[in-house]
Amino acid sequence: MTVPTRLTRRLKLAAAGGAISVAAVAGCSAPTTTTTAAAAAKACDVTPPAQPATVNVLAFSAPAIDPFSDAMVKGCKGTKNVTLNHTPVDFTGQIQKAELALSTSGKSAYDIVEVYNSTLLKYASKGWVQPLDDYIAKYKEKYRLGDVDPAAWKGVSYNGKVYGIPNQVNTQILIYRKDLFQAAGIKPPTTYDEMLSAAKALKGKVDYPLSLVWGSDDAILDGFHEWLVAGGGTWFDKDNKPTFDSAQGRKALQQMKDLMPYMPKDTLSFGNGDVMALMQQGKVAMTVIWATRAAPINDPSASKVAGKVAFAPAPKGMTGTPASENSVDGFAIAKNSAVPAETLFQIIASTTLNKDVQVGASKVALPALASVQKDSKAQQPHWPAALENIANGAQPLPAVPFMDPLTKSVVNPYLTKAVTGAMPVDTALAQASSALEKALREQGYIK
Amino acid sequence: MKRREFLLLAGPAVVVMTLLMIAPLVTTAVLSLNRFSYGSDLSWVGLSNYTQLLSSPELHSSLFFTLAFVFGTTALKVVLGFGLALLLNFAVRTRSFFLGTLLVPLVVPPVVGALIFGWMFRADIGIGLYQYVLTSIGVDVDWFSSTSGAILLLVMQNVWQDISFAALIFLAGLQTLPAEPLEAARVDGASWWQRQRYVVVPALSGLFAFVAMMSVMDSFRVFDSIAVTTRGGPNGSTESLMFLAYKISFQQSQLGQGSAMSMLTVLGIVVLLIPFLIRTRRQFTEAA
Repeated sequence: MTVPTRLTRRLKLAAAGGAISVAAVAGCSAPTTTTTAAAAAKACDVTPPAQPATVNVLAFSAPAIDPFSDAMVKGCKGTKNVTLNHTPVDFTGQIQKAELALSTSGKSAYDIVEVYNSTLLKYASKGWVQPLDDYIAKYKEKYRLGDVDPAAWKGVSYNGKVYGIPNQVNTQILIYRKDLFQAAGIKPPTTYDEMLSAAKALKGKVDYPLSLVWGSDDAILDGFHEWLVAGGGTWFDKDNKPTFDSAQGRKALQQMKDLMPYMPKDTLSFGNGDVMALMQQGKVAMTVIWATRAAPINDPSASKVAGKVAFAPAPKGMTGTPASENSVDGFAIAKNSAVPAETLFQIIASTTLNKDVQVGASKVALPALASVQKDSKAQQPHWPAALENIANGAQPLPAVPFMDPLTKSVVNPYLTKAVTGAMPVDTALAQASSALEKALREQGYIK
Repeated sequence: MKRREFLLLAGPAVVVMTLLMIAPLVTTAVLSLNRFSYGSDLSWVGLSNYTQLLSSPELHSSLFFTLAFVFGTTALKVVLGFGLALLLNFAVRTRSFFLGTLLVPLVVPPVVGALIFGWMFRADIGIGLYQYVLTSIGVDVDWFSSTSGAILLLVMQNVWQDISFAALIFLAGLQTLPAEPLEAARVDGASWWQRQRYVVVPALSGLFAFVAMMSVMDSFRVFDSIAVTTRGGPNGSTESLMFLAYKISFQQSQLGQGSAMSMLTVLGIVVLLIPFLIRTRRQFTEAA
């Protein structure tokens, strides 16, 4: 019969087309994650648990996080009695899901959780994540854990114990358009005043002389932190009482406010991805952003300005400290996980700290392994600036368990009002300090 | 139907409704009288959460935005939805095509719709088509950095997403209207506008009330479009009551106060719905 034959042919063609499309889409994973997953498949070294176990990984999706999430999940896919699951979430979603999962009295919905300084401190202070010192001692030789940068271990420690396995260190560096700077006859700024002068000189020569990650829902506090500590200010005293309502705090906030005219109007809604996209589009002359964003900004397949950008340490404040921030990212193990902690430790340590995995991810992440940091083959164009930034004393957020999200959510609205001129700087800081102190007392952080 | 039969048939549904709706509501009310966070024990504080919230400037700002959003979106959905329904009622031959097009926003998930709608107004990253068109005709609005712009953006997005629902309801009403009153009005010399005003709208008053009520209930609970576009900015001026509850609960980890915020929102919805509930009760009483 004719009709069924035609239909069958059409169906076959449609199915083939669909299969080709699916294969094409499936093959479109980022080259970095493919590289790290392949390396991790060889590196994964896990003793199969006695009982079948499902391991759920909670990690947000970002260029510098995906290689390590994939290293674990894809690398250990073939492990007997272990099924690994990971559905990427956004950053805010990770914070909220983690709190919910880790705090429950039942079994955690997630066994391995992505952490960075501030979140790890909170989870560790509440006893939500597993201390790992015993496992680190046990597997030090097997997984060559002695090669991890001591600063990386410090970033995942609390009260003298290690609670996470770091996979990268990160810092905010200056990324700038060397072509625009050369055309304007100016050098990359090394101080705040030079940054302001450079912004003035570049006005009219590019859409926006400057763009910073100052989203009012999150990162504006990081911006304030950078200029506060660069100016010699502090966040809290030894009793956890806020001390940022100070001369240094007011100066930092005023400095931020004075930069606003040189930045996009929607700056206070920007996350890292938005500023990165602006740089890639060639609309911005300079930014201070996490070093992990350097590779995508300089990637010819994603950026219009690849090859036209250069990297430098962040401008310094009065004290000579870079107006920057350090961070360590890694993975922690839920205390209330149903999976044996040792199994989870093996999954994380054998894959994410494997040298080939670290080298594979080096394009997007500053490695936690000291040997890879010094490996000339793994070296990336932005590493010298990042390492100099760290050596010059860039500071992480304060090592207190209430920084993120509590301090951010209380203080950010006042910072936002101050930089937009909706509230005077000194009033904003005074009210922010008062509101935060009240919140900290209510939560028991100030006795 | 006998009372026993009625109870037997309606009973399971009532039990399920109670479990799924009343139980969480009562639980939230109890939690709102306590102070607690993730992993901590409940600590009784009575009405302290409510007094703190009611005296906070953030709540006042949030309430102002929420009411402006509710009234703005409801008015636009009712007026524009009715207008669309009239057009669809008139376009007999092409009605299916336009109806299909109109339904597209309804099937788009709200978060996806809000995200893409917001991108269309982004001037900075080169994908804001609407912003480009508006700027080229001299209309320059700061959608994300000015309070009025951000509120307008959210209202437009919400109306775009839900207007087809209103149009469908009104279209169904228009198509079931008896023809005789309209004919009589035409014979009496009434103009098109007079027929709409004095015959059609009064006849569809129940549907207007229904659409308005649904819009009030939905708009009062707005959260997802704010979370993916303005994120409560600029300066917290587009934080709805639900967004504020989320912020208090999940960012500041004050779950007791967040529960109190949720209860206040429920109370607000009930207050706004009182006129509709009275009207509905009156209709049922008259019908009986």
